[in-house]
Amino acid sequence: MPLTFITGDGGYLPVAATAPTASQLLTDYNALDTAGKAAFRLAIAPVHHVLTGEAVTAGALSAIAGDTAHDEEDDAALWILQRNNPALASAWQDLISGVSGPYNADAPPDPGPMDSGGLMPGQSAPGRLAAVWEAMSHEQRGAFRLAIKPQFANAADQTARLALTNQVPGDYCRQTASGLYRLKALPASTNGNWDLIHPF
Amino acid sequence: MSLQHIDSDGGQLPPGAASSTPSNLLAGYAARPAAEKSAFRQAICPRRFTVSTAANVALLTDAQPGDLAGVTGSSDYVFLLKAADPTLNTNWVNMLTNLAPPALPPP
Repeated sequence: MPLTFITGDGGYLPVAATAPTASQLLTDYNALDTAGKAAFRLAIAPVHHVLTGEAVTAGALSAIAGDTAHDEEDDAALWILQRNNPALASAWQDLISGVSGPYNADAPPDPGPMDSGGLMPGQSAPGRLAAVWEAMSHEQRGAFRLAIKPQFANAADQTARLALTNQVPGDYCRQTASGLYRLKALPASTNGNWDLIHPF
Repeated sequence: MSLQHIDSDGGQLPPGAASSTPSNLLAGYAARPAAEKSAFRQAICPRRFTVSTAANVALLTDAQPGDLAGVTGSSDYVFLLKAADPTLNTNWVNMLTNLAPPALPPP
């Protein structure tokens, strides 16, 4: 591959030499049709982990960044994993109170905070997609995040929630007098495809 | 642009017209090993901020859509940034109440 393609796009996007910006990722996403966007959102949608009396730092070890979790036996907390090390207490935050996750004696040493690109120390050779992200400006990142961000809806009751259209996995719905739900799979009209992540 | 360039890039990047799938972006993501997927997910992971008052979410100028915010010492707020401008209070919603935070008082 000629280096001109690589250097022409900041070193990460070999076929984007003709693109006016470094953000071929955003361009690609915006070019998808609705079904394609939904499929991508489905692929990257955070997963919600349901625990039963386990500490999140021990019971959600398959989680990756962006995933959420709650304990069926302790509805007070709604956890989000912000770094790719679910055994680390500092990698989890309770969305309700802001506190970090519980200590796990089996966790590896804390490598320190993420860098500005959202990568952990030591991830000097991130995946190609992550490298693309690294090359994007704050504004470009914001535009892409806006394109893929979870949607938030309100529903008066279960019937209204299951009647929501255009929902894709990762989206939230606040159901009056019930709780905060997150869609985990399509179709949204199936109640079992929604996780109650924080009951009211 | 020849197919050679697409092939040499694993098929994950455009131009989509030459792709074998309808979504190069998705194909690119799906084809990545778990470590790369998690690195990408971490890169785009929503962040959570903490502010001292609900109105102060409008001061989170670094926040991007999808980011979350809570209020120190309170369990009443899980704010989600819905749009690109975090300085506009109506772009935030408390997912527990469906209410926007109050606007900051004029300087």
